[in-house]
Amino acid sequence: MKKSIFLIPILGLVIACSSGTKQSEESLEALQEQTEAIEELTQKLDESIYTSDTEMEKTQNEINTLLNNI
Amino acid sequence: MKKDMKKVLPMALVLFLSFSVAFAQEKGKEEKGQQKQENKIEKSQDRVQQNQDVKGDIDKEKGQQAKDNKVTEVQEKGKQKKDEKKPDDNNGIDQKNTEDLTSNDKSKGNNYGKDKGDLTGKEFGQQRASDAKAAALATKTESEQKIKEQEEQIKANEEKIKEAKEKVKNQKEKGEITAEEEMAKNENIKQAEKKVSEMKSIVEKNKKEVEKLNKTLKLE
Repeated sequence: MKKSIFLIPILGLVIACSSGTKQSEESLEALQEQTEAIEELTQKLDESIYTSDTEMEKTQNEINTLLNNI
Repeated sequence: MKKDMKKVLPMALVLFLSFSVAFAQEKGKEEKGQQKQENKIEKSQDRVQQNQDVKGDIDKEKGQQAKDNKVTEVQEKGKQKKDEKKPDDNNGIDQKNTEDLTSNDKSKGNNYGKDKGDLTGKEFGQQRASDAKAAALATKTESEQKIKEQEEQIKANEEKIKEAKEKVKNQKEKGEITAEEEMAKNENIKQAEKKVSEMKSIVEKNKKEVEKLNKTLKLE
């Protein structure tokens, strides 16, 4: 009975150590996911702007041709 | 004394065992997490590197296109034919860029994420996050500027269309053009109006993309 009392704080210590690591791991993963999302959206926006630039230029040329004939 | 030793020895053994289990667990998890993180970091750094390369190429191309645009506006009909040939040149640049990109991928693709210096996995992850945020903010600002320019372009086109309509009306009133010519010109104006609405939808799409990025940045 006396010995088992000493086991309680040890058990607590073990649990505390493992849960602390788990928590930091989870927060790291969340950070990574957010970073990946940001990177993905940044790339998408970049591509969208680039594509739109080309399309706008093409459309502008067409408009110029159409209006210059008037 | 012997009795005390009998009590203390198992206690010390239990203590030692529990500590070693706790440390082993922590170390194992840390190593696993670090490995996972490193893999992810490498992947995303490759992506960022690729982005930067593409961005650089895009900037170059954009500069050239801006120059082309100015020339187009100033030049008259005859020169417009030359401008129509320029996209071919741009295609050439695109090909060059893709070739550059593929060669970049081959030469330095996988080495990017490996050298982390003195940073730990966690620190490196945080550094990467702040880098991504900074890059996102820069892209956002650039995109907003671009959208502004595109909106101005649309406004200018709407103005041109308005003027064209008035011109046709005046020409008709003065009898300078026939009914057929008037119809043809009005048709051209209609088509130009359609093109302007296409431009508007392009800008709207860009705005939505910026908004998405904005929301993600604000969520952090």
